[in-house]
Amino acid sequence: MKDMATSLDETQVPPATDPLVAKTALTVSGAVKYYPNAPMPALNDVSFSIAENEFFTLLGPSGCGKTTLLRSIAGFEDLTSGSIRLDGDSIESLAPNQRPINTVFQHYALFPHMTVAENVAYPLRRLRLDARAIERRVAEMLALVKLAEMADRKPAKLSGGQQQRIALARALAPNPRLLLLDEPLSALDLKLRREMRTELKQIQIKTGITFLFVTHDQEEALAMSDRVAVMNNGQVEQIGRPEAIYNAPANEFVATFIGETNALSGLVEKTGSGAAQVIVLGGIALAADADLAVGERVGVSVRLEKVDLRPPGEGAVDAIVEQTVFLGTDTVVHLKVGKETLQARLQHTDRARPVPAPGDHCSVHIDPGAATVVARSNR
Amino acid sequence: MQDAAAVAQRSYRVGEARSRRVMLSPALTVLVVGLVCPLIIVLVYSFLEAGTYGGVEWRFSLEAYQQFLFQRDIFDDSLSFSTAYLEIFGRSLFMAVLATAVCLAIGFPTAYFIATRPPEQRMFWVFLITVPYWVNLLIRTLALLFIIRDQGPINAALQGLDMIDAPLRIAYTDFAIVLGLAYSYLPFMILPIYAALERSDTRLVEAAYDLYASKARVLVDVVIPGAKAGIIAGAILVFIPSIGSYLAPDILGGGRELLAGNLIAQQFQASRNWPFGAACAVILMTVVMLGLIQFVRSQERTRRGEMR
Repeated sequence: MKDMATSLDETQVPPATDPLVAKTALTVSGAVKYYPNAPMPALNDVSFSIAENEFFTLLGPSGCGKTTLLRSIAGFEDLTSGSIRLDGDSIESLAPNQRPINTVFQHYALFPHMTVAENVAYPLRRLRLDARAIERRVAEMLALVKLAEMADRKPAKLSGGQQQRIALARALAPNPRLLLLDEPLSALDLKLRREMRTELKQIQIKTGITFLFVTHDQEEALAMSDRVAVMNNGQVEQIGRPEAIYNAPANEFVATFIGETNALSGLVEKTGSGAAQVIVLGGIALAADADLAVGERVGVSVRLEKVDLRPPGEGAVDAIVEQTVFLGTDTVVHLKVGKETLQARLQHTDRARPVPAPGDHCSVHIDPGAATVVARSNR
Repeated sequence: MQDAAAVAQRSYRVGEARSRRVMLSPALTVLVVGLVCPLIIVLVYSFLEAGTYGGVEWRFSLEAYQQFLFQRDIFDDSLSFSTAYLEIFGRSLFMAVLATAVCLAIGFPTAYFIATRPPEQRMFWVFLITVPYWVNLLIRTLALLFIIRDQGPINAALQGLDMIDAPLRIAYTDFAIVLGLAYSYLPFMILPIYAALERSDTRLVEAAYDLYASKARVLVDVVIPGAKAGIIAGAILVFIPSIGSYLAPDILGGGRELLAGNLIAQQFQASRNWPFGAACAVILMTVVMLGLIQFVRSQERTRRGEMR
């Protein structure tokens, strides 16, 4: 029983992702990249390390520098300054074909004139493995992505999802030290994308290869990653486990980029022993653990699902329902609280409690611990 | 409702067909007057008898085609098989293949160089390629002769540097003919390859490079297959004018050894045997056309294979 508990614990917190225990696979330190004729750096002092066997995600909007970073690690771009180390060795002087790192490209980049099996065999041939070993490895990889029966087809005959799997099989075939994935799911439709998420994660666990995944889709990042680095304007804004990024965003950018949130303005009312009380919406008291001064104005992030609607008079402040948006499993309610707006996400689990209609009066309750201070005004 | 839609669609189709005919008419006129009519005339002439002072006698005859393969004895009028004209065609074919190979060897690296320039510079390089071709082909060929002849600058320079004692024999050789053909038709090789390379997927190059391919392997495995359509188009565009070319063999080869183009020209000028000239033209055209059809068919087969 005890054993099972520990093993369960391990699946929840894989030891490999604990930076203190696990061996470091990749270290990027002080990465700076200026493109010619661009005033702003594409990468501005980026540092992080990835543990062996970790599923690490770079998440950010387009133009945040995540692709530049990925291309620098693959060897297609040179950093202006900073270093990239793989297993402790600097790899900056190595060409892409000398780095034990493979990439799954956004648009698959399968060779159109080769069959599926030839595509998967390509890196193995270039590494001069013997024919029997290549054949065995190709069969193994096609079985891994469940496309063994497509071995003799040309890529043009495959669906987008199948092409994506072949690209994955091809990049995994040489058993790289690090696998880079450049928005590999962005060209797929929603349903397929969701299926592929689960499968990617399973393949990563099965193969034990370190994954560095790049995406602008926060849902994807939260669903698959052991840790996420949120990037913006060439800088890393926050690195952490998905839960930490979601529940305790380090700043306003992270709070608004990950998930939906109410960005509210609050006034610090009371402070004491590392905790503070912040008032938002003219009457809701929230706890903040930041070191704040009384009278200071701060930005506060409250997730939509943390906003609770109660009958008029029962909550802390009164509100009027402006609009409701039905989303299937839940409904987003747009509220007017005084002059400010607020959104709440109601799950359709509580059948006894009907979803309010536009024009309804209600009151708002937010748990004091549900908020995160994300921005501080300049004093 | 459905009837109205059907009527509307039919009248749309009729209108569309009419406007298509109107739009096509200039191109069709040019094709009929400039291509189909002359071809018919050539074909008809090849089956007529030669006039004594040029021109044709309007009597049906297979004499011209017979002459291509058989020699008529002047004394007893008997026919004997002769390979003289076949040899001329064979040599033309050989020269055209060589010229195509030279164009490919020079054209592919050139096209690759242009396609790998930054986009805003590419048009400038393409423009530079076309500059020599603003001058008439005859003048360019003559200019080439002046450069390679015994007293020309190449030989003068080599002699001046004491690298050779006697002038190198470049002009009036088969080498000069191949050089002239390649020079004449080089842009027809460069431009289609450039177009194919420019359209080709650079991400495949990165993928191969990422998957441990050396730069040479990337070229062989990805770049050349990607430019295949352009290479084929360029080869056809150089080969066809080369095999029937008249100017380069005449001027640079000194007309010492006949090629197909010169043979045909000769029949219409000095020899005054129009039907034979026409027959040679028809034979050359048929051979080239059959070869092309065969080639295109084999390409279609491999393409279908790729889509399997």
